[in-house]
Amino acid sequence: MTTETSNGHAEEPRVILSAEELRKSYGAHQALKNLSFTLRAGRVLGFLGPNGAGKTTSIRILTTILPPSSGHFVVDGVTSDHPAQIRRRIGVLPEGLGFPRQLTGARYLSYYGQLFGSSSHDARSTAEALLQEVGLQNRGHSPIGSYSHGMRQRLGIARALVNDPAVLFFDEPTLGLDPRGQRELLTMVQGIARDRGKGVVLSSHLLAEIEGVCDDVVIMNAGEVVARGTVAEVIGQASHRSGVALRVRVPVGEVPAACGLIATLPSVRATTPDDSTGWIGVELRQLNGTAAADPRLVNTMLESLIRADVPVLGLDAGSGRLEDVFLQLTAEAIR
Amino acid sequence: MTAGTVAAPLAPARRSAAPVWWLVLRQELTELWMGGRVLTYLVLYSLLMSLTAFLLATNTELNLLPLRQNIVVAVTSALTFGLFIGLAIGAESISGERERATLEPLLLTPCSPRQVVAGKFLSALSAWPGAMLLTLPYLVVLAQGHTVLGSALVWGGVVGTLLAAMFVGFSLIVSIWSESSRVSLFICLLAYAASLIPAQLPTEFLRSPAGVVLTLIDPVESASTYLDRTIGSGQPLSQAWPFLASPVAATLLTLAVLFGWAAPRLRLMARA
Amino acid sequence: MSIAQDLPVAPAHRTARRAAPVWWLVFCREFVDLWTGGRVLVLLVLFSLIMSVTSVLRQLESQLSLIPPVEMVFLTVLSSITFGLFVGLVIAADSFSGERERATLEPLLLTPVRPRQLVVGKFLAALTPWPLTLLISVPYVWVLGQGDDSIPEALLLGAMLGGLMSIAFTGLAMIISIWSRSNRTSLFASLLVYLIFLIPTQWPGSAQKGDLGYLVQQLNPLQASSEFLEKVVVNNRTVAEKMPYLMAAIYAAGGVLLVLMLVAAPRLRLDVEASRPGRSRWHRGARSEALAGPALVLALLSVPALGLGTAAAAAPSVSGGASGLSITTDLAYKTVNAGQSIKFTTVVKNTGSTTSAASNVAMNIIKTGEGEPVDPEDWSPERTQGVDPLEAGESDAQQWTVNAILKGDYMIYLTVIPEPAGADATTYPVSSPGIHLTVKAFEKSNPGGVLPVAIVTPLAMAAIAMVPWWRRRRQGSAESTEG
Repeated sequence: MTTETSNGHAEEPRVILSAEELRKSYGAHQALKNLSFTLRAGRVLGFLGPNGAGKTTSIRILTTILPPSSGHFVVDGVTSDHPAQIRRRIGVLPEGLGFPRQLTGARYLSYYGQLFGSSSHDARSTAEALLQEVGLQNRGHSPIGSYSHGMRQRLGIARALVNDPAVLFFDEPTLGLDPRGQRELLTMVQGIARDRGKGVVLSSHLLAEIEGVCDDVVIMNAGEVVARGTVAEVIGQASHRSGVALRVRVPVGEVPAACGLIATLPSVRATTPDDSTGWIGVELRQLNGTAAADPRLVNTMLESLIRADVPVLGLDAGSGRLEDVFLQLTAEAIR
Repeated sequence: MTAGTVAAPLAPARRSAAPVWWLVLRQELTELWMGGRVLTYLVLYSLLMSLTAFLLATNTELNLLPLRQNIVVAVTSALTFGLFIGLAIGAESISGERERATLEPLLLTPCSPRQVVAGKFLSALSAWPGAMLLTLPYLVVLAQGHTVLGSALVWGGVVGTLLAAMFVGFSLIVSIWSESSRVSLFICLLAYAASLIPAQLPTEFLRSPAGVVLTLIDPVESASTYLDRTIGSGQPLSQAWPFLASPVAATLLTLAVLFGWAAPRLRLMARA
Repeated sequence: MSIAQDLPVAPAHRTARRAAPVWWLVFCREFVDLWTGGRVLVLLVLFSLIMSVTSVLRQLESQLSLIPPVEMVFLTVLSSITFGLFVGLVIAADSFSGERERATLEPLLLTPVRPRQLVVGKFLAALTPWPLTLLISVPYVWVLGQGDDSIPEALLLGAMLGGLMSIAFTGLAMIISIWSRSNRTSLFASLLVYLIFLIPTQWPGSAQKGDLGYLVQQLNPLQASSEFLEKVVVNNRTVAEKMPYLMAAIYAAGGVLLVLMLVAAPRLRLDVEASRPGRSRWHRGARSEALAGPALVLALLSVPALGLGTAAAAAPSVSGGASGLSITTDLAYKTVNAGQSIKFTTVVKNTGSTTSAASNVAMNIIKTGEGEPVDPEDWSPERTQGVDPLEAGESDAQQWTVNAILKGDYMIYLTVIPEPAGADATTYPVSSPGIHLTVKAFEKSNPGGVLPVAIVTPLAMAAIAMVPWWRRRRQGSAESTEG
């Protein structure tokens, strides 16, 4: 989301969140080693990493729940020395958030609105508006104990918006939701960033969906950042390292035959098959330091497979997937 | 990575119509009372008091127990029950929220932890006046028009409020540092039980100098002795005041520790 | 030819060793969890600290030595019982509701294990702190009791009563845990029930007397146990005499075990509603438990109509003694109702030829036949009166008042005890004829006008307590949830 200056040039949105060399230790154990990143308004930053990577620790530090061992961060111009002021500017949906069962959704939102400084009247109006926005307008006066998990997550998002924050943090918001619920929630998250101009930090394991929602990613492992940048940059870095230009999927039993056929193509340097899924990565020959790009490579490859009666189950002609990057980077880090 | 190029000005805090402690108190009272929990306990308490009152009235007719002593027993029962309920509510007020994962959003507001704790403290304290109010009809009928009723209401109210504040304050301190409700409840009840130990000692010892010292140190025993002297024996404040000093001092100390030291250290994790 | 016939049949595996019973497996796991977790050990350390402090006080403070050793034995054993059953109660209260909350109950219920076996294993594990508590208290009992002869008996009876009370309250807490939606409710309810049984034990001794007081004592297993232990260990009563109190403890333990194993355990489910017995109104929600109370209270309050007491007087009778003193009474027998008082006069006369020594007249009351012994202090405000030296032929009258406390058949007698001349001398007490007192039961159904308040107040509270529940039902707690 960019804004135009008076002379028509696109101006980058302002930095809404920045962290510099954040560290967190518990005795001898370093839960977070060196976290640095920036987030601009209107963009979604994905925090990815396996269990224990430090994602929740990072979010808790950035939301002032935990103090860092060293380093600092700035939220909407407020430095980390002013935690109460920071809390006025952020909204958080923590992982596994609990709700009071007997309170209605409207009362719950109104209560938090007042805790953030609104009058009771303003808090009630805001609550009604937020319930409408998250699709709970018909259930706002029912006890939260009667809500489904998906409804509670939506209520949690509404609560995170109650103080009109500049930055929102969502820690594993899609956990336990069905595919439709996941999609709806991620669409909501994207809308919050794009339409409201908020900065959003999203921590999740759903890499396929993250790829579609996030503008920037930070991949963490064992408390360290192993990759960061836009989604395309991160995927490109990994693809460049691995050399895989495209992937094709065949039945598992046909993988050896397909690899043999593809390897005979002139611009193909090597194939990296996955015998369990049937995906075959195709690495291209390097010409002048870059991978050889034959524009008809895909057609040629498909033609040879079809002629040999090898069923083609899938084709990924892009530069790769975030999931592959994630697995590759975290596996490298483990090694 | 560089920090932001333009720092946004600090937004002025909007003033709420009500202070945070009041918002928290109102919310907690609604949960406690409209949720039905405390009301259920008071029903059980009223059954116990009915039985107690009938027994005491019978004993008065049998000349087993003087009327004043009846009133002391009734007030002491109200105290025991009200303190226990307040203690149990306070013990799980913070640690319970941790367990139910509802503490984090509260800490994510700009509210001062001290105000949050104040609201919870007052709501946990609300069980005591409920118990005392419920005891009122029993006291009226047991007093049979005797002037001891006034003394019972005044001193029972004062002493009960002091002890309730002390126990609720203590339970909140424990709760702030407990990961689970079970642990905090257990510790609080142990402390409560320990305060009842002197009452189990024989009367001869309690009358001795060492016994008097022990009574003065233990605010519960001291309060009980005070009630016995003022309501049971009709002693004036000028004579019985040493036994009021202990509960007053213990309560003030507990509240000082709670609001001066513990509350500002309220964290998401008990051992952060 | 079917596919099944082509499939090779795997040979049946014979287990070389029989698997341990499920309840044992559960018990072992729970036991290890409980004790290696450290918390129970910490509590026992705390208990021993409290015991140590008491012992040190005892040694340092000479004033404390006013307490007879046998009474210290009783107090110490009682403390260990109270602590042991309390720990068991808290552990049991967490046993199933805690597993529900922590989402660890489901995998257990998904095994082919019968729920009763799960309950047995957890129940036995929850009982384990009690024996260790008693064991820890043994050295303290020995020290505080100064090696008194009553120690072995006290420990044996304490072990028995403590075991019974642990079973009763641990079982009760486990039943509540099976039927509770949350750990918080379970803990709260268990402790509240414990408190309701505990409060009457804190009443002053005289509040626990009277027919109704004794009935309440026997209905309350905590009071009954304490009373049994005190009377047998401290007051040298026999077990047979105090059997009703022991039976109260046995009935409590047995009753709770029956409900736990036959009603609660087989119904143990993941869902709390399915665990509760039946869908009758008795067990709908927490509010309905309050309805059980009024029934109990009303049962206790139902007392037969007021009877009439009859008064009778008899001619005084005379007896003499070697001291030259004689004592006569103006009452031979009387029948009254409990709660009434009788007054009579005794006359001490010097039938000798010399001036008598100063003397005391002491009154005693005994119950004829078996039954609760009489504590004369409850029956009369004045048990002794002094008589100045009497000239030959002189007499002195004393007025006495006795309050009839309990129904039964009694003999009142008075003894004149002349003061001995010195440390090397003695005297001959002289007894009066007995006054036969027949006391009929206290039959006032509304003592002090308390009955209306005792009934109306709980009912009113129950009605108020129903309001939030009724509101929630109206708001539609059964609304359908949307995905």
